[in-house]
Amino acid sequence: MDNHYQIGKVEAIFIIVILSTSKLIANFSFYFVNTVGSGVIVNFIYIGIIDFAFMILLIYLQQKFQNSDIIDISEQVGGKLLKILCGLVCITVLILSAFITLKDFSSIIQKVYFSNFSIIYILMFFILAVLVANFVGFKSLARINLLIVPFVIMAILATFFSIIAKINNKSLTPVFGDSYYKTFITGLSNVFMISNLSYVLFLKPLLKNESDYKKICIISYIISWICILLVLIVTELLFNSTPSKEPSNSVFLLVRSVNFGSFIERIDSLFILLCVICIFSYLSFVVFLINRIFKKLFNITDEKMISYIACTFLFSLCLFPISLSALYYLENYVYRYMIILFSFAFEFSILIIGNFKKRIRKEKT
Amino acid sequence: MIRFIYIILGYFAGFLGITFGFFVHFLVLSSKSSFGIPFFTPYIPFLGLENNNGIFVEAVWRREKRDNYLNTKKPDLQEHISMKWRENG
Repeated sequence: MDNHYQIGKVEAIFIIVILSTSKLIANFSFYFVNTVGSGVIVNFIYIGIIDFAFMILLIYLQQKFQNSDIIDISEQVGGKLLKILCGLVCITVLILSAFITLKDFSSIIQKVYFSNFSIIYILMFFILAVLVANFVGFKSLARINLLIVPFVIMAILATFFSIIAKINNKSLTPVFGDSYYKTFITGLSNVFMISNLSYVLFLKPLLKNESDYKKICIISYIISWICILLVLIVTELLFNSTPSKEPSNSVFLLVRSVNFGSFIERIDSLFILLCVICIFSYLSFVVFLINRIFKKLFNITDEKMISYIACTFLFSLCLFPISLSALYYLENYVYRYMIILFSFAFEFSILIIGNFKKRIRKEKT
Repeated sequence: MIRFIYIILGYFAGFLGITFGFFVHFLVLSSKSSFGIPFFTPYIPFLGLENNNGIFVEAVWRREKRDNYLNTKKPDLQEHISMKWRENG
């Protein structure tokens, strides 16, 4: 198992893109559209600029910490106690993220394609894929993204161009949404959608060449921003801005509408195939990160066992009899604010304190 | 042999099984190497768009260098002007 493999620039960019765009496959685009109505484009550009500014600040703050991820930085800042606290917070966020995505997507697949099956069998396939991916090693996981991501981007572009032609432009008006307050103040919480900030902090020790870190962050951000924007535009155009209580499986309904004349119709199964591979890759990488965090926290030499534990925990969590409305509450409120607190408060406070401490140490010497 | 695994997976779980099989198959192949060179070179790991990368391939008469990842003793495949009869008229 080769977990000491260091990734190149393109591999790192594609990993971050997969981690960000997997959110689209769960119902997050629906919550986004529901929050701001027809002001989707303006709101997304607005939060994109804010998020980008925070990312630049994050890159600047992390410059002084060579070959360190957030766990190492927290150890330098607050010793072992903060390291363990930071590790547990990171694991909680990652597990929740994986749980929500897996539960949501597997329930969509079960409803549409496997209505006679129990959800256990569907979850088992995902968990087994994650186990195998972590058993084979990080090298293969990083390389498989090089195959997946171009197809994901092509699928998003194909969806966009096939749907955009048949839509009424009036669905996008009013451009600023129902009110300025909703679009610019309440809509600020939509920043959870671009969750690059929560993942890039784990990236530095995995890179072959640390000087590429800035380029990787910026390029991956731009690619995921464009992909998410395209999907949000077509979601908004197709489903209108009328707020509804019940989230539709927006991406699935979106891809069902894709047709090129009467020759190519209902190619949703191809898209779902891509979505499934995307989710496999996303979950595998999340479990890989959990393994790494555990390894750093408790100085474990062999991470194999932790994959089994993490996968078993995730599987049992997904089997928990949670109703769909509770799941949607988790997605729309708990996960949203947890990501915002984690990315913008927790990570930044550790980095700012770390930079401050380094400056004081430098002044003393 | 592997096709039977795909058939069984497809029978049990349809497209989900096939996708699972493809994902695992691809994972295993990505970890393999052939004489020290990764199996899917030059696509994965991506080696850039120059020098006959497999994505944009030049005409036979323009292929002057051997692929870099082969680490050959003689990097030049053919001369700069390989079709001498065109130059000589």
